[in-house]
Amino acid sequence: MFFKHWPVLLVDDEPDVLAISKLAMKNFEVYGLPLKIYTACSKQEAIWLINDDVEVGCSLAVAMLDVVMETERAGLELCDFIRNNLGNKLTQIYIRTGQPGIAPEREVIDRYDINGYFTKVEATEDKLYSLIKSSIRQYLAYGMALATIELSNNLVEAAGSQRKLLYTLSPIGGLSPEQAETPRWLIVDGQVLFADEIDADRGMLLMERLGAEEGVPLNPAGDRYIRDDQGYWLIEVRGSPSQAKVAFLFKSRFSPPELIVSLMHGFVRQLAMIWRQSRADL
Amino acid sequence: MRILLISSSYNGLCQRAHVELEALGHDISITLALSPDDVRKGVTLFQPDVIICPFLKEKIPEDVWSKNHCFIIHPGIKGDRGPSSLDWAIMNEEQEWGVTVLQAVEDMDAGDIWASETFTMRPASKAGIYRRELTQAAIKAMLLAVKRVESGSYRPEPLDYSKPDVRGELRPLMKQHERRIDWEHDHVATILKKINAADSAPGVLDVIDGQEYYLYGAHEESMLQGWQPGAIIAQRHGAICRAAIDGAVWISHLKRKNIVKIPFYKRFLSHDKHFDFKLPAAKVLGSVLIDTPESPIDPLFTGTEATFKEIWYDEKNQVGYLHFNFHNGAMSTSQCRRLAESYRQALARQTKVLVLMGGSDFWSNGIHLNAIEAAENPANESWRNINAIDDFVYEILTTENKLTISAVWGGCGAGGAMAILAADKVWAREGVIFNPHYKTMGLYGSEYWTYSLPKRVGPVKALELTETPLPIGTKKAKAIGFIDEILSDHYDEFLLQIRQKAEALAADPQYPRLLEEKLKIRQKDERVKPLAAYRAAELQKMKINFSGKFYGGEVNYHEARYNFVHKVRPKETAAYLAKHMRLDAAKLSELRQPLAY
Repeated sequence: MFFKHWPVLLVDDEPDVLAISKLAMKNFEVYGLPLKIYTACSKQEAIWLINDDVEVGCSLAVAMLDVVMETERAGLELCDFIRNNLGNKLTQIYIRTGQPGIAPEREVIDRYDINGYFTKVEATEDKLYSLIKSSIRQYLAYGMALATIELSNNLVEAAGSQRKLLYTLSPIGGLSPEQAETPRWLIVDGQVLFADEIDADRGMLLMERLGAEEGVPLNPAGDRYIRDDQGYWLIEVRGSPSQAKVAFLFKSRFSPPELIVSLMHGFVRQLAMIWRQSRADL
Repeated sequence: MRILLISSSYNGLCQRAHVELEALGHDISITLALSPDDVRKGVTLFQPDVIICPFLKEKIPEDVWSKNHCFIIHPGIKGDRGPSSLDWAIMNEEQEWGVTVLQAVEDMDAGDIWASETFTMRPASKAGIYRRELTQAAIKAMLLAVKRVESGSYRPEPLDYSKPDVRGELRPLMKQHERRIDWEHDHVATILKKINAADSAPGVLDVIDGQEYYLYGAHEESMLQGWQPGAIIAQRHGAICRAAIDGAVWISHLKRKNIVKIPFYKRFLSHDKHFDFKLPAAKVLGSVLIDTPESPIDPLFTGTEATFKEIWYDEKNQVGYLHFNFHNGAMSTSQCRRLAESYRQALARQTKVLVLMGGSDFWSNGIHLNAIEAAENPANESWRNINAIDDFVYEILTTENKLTISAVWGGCGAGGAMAILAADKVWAREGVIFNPHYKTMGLYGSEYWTYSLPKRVGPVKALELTETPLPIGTKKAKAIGFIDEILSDHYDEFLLQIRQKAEALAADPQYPRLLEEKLKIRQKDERVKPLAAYRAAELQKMKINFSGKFYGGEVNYHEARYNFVHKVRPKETAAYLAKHMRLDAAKLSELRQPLAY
């Protein structure tokens, strides 16, 4: 939800292929956000980039890897590195080879955890367009689902103590250097978590403003979400004797599909229930 | 006894006092002297038998010291008074200095003396002496004072300047004009002395290229010389070398003066970064050094001549000793990469045992938070730094041709406390304090800790050590298997013991079997779960710490790092230290319980 562009890595030992691909993808947008294209000419250079740049190392949406580079299977080894050494199961990895005879499609797809395979001849601009669009949609949905599951697991582990819940929630509340332009507020029973006085007031004012709008219902219980034209989102769970009133207020640079809003609503609802049932030991 | 520690910060001495007193079975709570009311609250809730102030810059409220046994640990000999004790001792070239445990009274440092200890001074920075000799003496004196209180019969010694052993005097705060370096007249020894007396705080104020800076980290240079005293004649690994009238001096760190402090939340909105904290000199000076030549040094430096060196090596009787003395134990990306290279070169030597000696004050404290804070993109630099330190730890874990030993003389924390576990054996000085946790910095941590720590202490203890960010001493560390051996608290004796034990290991007829066993265990562990998988899982968690994009990034780490680097005091004492706050909460919940009849 807090992307400002989609990081894409192209690895190929042919500079022309990199240049043409970069040019072709220059104006692609997904959910209204541009791509940020990183390139490397070899497996080694790609690994260096992964270890050097936190975005490539941690938030890579798509990687397109040539196979034959410094060795005959360098691209496949790089795929292995991303999946197993980095533990990254999320990046959508595509093998793009000029020599399908060396790494046949079936063998590669059977042996390596990749999302697709195509030859360089097949890589037209239209093909790249549809592939980038669909893979980033997939990346975002899968990433949000995994992140929601992890947060939910953490909530369950911390259940019973509001102090522990607060610690668990700390990654998603407040303002971080990376997200200075996309602030977030978690407001539980009218209290803003993780904010100093200035930020808390700002959050409350925003919530009041957005809360006054009609919004889109999320369930029959009256939960809803509202989005304004400045990119602010409010996901609101109504309070009751069995659950706290929770508002997740944030600014996003793009509009995610309904499925993702539902995932976030699921998390906020779970928090509302667990919070109410937990000891107030702050 | 119930002992309340009141301290300006939870520094090394306070941690050591905490660990030592708790090991003797005392009930300890800690309050930071954030305000007189915080201090009063701590005393009221905890109801201590004794209050000890290991490191205190603030005044204790009268109603606290007048009604309690309240001890101040003063870093000076009997009779010494004032806020710059150790600074004056270094400047005055005292041969012997000491620590006194005083009863708190209205006049600062003028109370009755409950215990005192002395130690021999050595040419080192104030922080170095504080961490080594002074801490050792302070703990000894503190424990004696506590014992004397327990006895109930000891009568403390009133401060009496007519006594021959009361050699100290009241000295004022040392001002910058007294610390000032006169480059035209001061010799190298004087410059070293002046910087040492102000290191790590407040630093010696000086002018470079028309701008005022505080100087830190002085090292003598024996080869380089320049014509103009004060001129920068070389740079090496971030340090600068300045000419003096009789030689040259390296200065490793600088801090700019007169920077307007900006609140945390505005810092990262601003693109105009000013560094108001201590950093490697070259980083602070930037383009000023554009024409200054780099003075290279061998990655496995074995020389004995005086110069600035962070990594050096010596070897005897089939044992190699790799020293890495990084300022405050912080290891930046480039330092980790250099260390990994030196380690690889040391592995290529014809030795059987490689001892990782760490530095004189710290073995390591993990990634370099100041360097990260100063980076153009701190999240990026955090990522680079953690990968670089992981690469170094990986080299140790996968060493096949030698037995490796972590010889821990200085303290270690966070990634540094986990890195020691990568070696086959861990031998530590008796007084070392370990902080094997990352939570205070809001990080999950890496350095293969999820492999090394449970392997040594078991999963339950591993969780306990990392979840509650408390220091542990060597006794506990050995009891739970965190370390293998406890060695002497005296430096020369410690070195001798390390040498004897490492040489005995190299000469052991069982050496080939030990090496073979080590390889077998590593291979077996690798089959169960590869090291790459441990690292990958740790880094997956760190991703959220550094730069989470789905539900947002971790604010804790970036804010905690900012507060650490800028020495922002916490708003309250952490709950895991302030036991009295837990008592408070317990009482409140008792009140909330329905009556039982």
